[in-house]
Amino acid sequence: MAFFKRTKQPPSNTALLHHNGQTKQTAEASRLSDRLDQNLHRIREQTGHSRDIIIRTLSHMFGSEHTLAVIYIDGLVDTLTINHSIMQSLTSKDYDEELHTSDPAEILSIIKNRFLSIGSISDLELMEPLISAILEGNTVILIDGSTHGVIASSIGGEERGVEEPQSQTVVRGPKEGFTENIRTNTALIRRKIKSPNLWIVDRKIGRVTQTDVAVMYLNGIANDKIVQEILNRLDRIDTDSILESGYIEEFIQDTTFTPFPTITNTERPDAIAGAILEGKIAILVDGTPFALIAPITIFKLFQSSEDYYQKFDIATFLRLLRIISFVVSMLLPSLYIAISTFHQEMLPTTLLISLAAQREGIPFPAVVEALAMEITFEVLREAGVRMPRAMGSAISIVGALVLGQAAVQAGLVSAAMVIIVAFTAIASFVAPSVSIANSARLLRFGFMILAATLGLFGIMAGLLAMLIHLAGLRSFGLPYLTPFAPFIPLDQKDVLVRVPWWAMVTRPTLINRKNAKRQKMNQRPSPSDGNK
Amino acid sequence: MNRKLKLLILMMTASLLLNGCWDSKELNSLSIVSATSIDRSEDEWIISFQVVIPQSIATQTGGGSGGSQSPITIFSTRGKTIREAMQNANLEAPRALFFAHNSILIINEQVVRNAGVQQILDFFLRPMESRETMSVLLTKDKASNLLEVLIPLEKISGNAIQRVITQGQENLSQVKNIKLIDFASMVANPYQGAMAPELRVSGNQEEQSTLDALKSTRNQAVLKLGDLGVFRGDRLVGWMKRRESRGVAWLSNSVKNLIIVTPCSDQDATRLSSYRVTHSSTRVDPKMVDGSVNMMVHIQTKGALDETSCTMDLTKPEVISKLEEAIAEQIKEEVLATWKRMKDLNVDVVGFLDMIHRRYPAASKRLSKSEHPLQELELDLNLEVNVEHTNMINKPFSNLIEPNK
Repeated sequence: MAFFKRTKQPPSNTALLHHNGQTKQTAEASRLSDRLDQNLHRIREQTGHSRDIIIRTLSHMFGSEHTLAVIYIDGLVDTLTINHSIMQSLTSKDYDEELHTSDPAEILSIIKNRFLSIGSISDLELMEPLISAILEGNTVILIDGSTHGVIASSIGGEERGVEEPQSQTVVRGPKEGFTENIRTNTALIRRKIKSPNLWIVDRKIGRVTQTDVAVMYLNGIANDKIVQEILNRLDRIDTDSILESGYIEEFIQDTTFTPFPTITNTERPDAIAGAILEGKIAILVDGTPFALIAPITIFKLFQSSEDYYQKFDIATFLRLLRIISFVVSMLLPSLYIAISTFHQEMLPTTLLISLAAQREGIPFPAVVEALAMEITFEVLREAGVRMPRAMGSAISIVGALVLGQAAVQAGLVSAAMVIIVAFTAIASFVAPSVSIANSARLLRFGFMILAATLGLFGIMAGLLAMLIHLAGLRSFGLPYLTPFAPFIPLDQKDVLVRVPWWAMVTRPTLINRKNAKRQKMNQRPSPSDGNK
Repeated sequence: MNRKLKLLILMMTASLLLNGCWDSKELNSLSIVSATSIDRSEDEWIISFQVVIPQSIATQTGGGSGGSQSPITIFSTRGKTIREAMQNANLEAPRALFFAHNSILIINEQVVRNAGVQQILDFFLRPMESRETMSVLLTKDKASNLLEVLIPLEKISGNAIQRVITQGQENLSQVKNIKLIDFASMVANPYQGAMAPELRVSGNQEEQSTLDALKSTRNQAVLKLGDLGVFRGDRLVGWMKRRESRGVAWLSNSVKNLIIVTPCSDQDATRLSSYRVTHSSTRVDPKMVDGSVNMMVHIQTKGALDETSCTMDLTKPEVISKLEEAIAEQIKEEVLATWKRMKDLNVDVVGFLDMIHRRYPAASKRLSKSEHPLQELELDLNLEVNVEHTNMINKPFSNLIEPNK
């Protein structure tokens, strides 16, 4: 325990990088000076003379003595905006006659109001906003002799386009996935939910990274308490960096020490839209295509957005199949160990003899065999994810031939064990959410140990402990096993089975108590009255 | 977290690991017993086990030489008690004997005649891993000899024997698969005698015990079901022939599928027909008539004519009803033969006394005092035979050859 105590101590403040290290300076010092060269010098100093910070000075413009400076960061800005809407306007000779003043403040205001053909423009007096404005990709215009500046929105630069999501593919359904740009992502959702009630609350988290985090929910449907709770938890985060939504997830989830995810993530805008319409809350993080959904129940993890696009009967079948696969991927190796070493009487005689024949000459006990094969598979799987694409075929040959066939022929593992491990692996890929598949992956090893020590009794004890743990889990106050524990009859229509859309009259009631009704009753399709 | 709680968690975790692997047994450390036989010599039990050799049975083995090895091997051990004999098997068997898949128990006739079955039943009902569904069989020979016979189609002869019995029970109702638990409950029932089928080797058993026997197309010896052993209390008192055991099936309402052969007419006994029973139900009603008990037996059968060499017009209802009468006569003969045998052996394998005990407790009390209670019963047979159809052809083929008859 002493170990934990030591690591729990907060890191010393000096270790924290602070991009605006001059907080100790007075407010006066952070104000812009009226001398342009001083301002530019300070900018250069603070950014360490980085080469990507472009400071373009324009002197003797508009017939005046004053020098203008256009500051932006190369690569973060949209070059088209800079060239056409800013530089062209400022250097255009046609405007020369319109300026009849030499007051720098007035010139700046004329530039702002008449020259810049840009949608979003704001004023600037302080140094800090100036730096963060250019870091976000805005362009700052300063003029000699004025303590004010102008921020012109020119955010742009290279980014990945909207592509088909890689991690969650569907046969039927939208093929668009989130990108790394939060604005694109919120737009993708807004395009699906054209309602003024789709509210977005912004937060900037990460002292160094200043990452944009957007909390999206449907006002009037989402539970206000949960929204407030999420915002409170987000506000409590005080860290230097947020690079992915996984950071946020670990900071705000209810329980850390659980193999089960209490927040899920998705790459699909339609999945987020569906969740928002049920009253759930989405958390989008800039820089990652994976958005978070909270609160969730364990059953949400077995649902794919395609469930709602396919016919309800096949959707129901697939849902049950996924849950069975989850159980298989969690328990199959341990069941094999338990039955083949403790409960041989449970097997049919011919199966027992065939398994016994396969185990003839195998030097290891079943549990060692199973653990070795499972770990081998995990290694293969990890290798498959990490290795360069070009070596993919090499791995599959080594994996399939060497580890599968050769190991059996060499008499190191039994053929039945290879089948068990292979089926377990395939079953674990069925889960639509990677996070729940990962919980099965971890629990599998625990169950294998239990099975090897106590047999089916051990598996049963493990399952009971798991059930108790699941019943105790909460996701932002929502019991994890809703709607089974607590049992809500009205919500059963979209858990194990998915009823047809016309019967899906209410939203999940525990999430949004105040506005549960989704649609009109009695919409079962039938011929119109006139055609009856 | 306080100290005590930490200590408790530590102890619980340790206990999980310290128990080792409890009673775990790897598959390749088991001798899977497929059949057991019990003989007795002087004062000792001789127990023989038929143990399966998995690698010679499974088609694909881990580098083993399947096919040239016998699929089964027999261990025989002696002991003053069955358990002791079994324990002695550890002196010679390289792997622990595993009884959960034992499907056959063969008991020698002399054992059940002299020593009774109570000790055997006690032994097999007691342990956790033995199965109550194993089939009980009797044999007049040395029981361990039967384990040695190789059966060509099935590699594990223990399983093969059980298949023969269940197959026989389904397709030939005179054979009955007696499970250990049923056998035990029959033995324990004071109003009913127990029964168990006999298994015998027909042919040269020695020859069929080597792998070479499987190379020839005709078997030197086969295992087949024979008579029906009848018990009074826990001892064998006699055998019923196959024909007599059919009557047991009729009386105990266990006829599902049976062929009845009848002659065409009383004059010509060489021409025969086969009638296949497809449905049959037997209702037995004990009735008090003038102080003695009458067993009213009502047998109702439905079936089809499967084969005939007679010449008759099967389209006429009166011909059919004549046929039905002849069949009923056959059934009656079978049942009466069994009834006579039951009275001779003085064993009630059908459970008549049990029925009387339920219906007329007073009469049952009086009967149970009698030496030969069955002698005091009257059997009142009432048969209802129905030939439902004559299968795909109506006219007997003989009619085409001898149309004038």
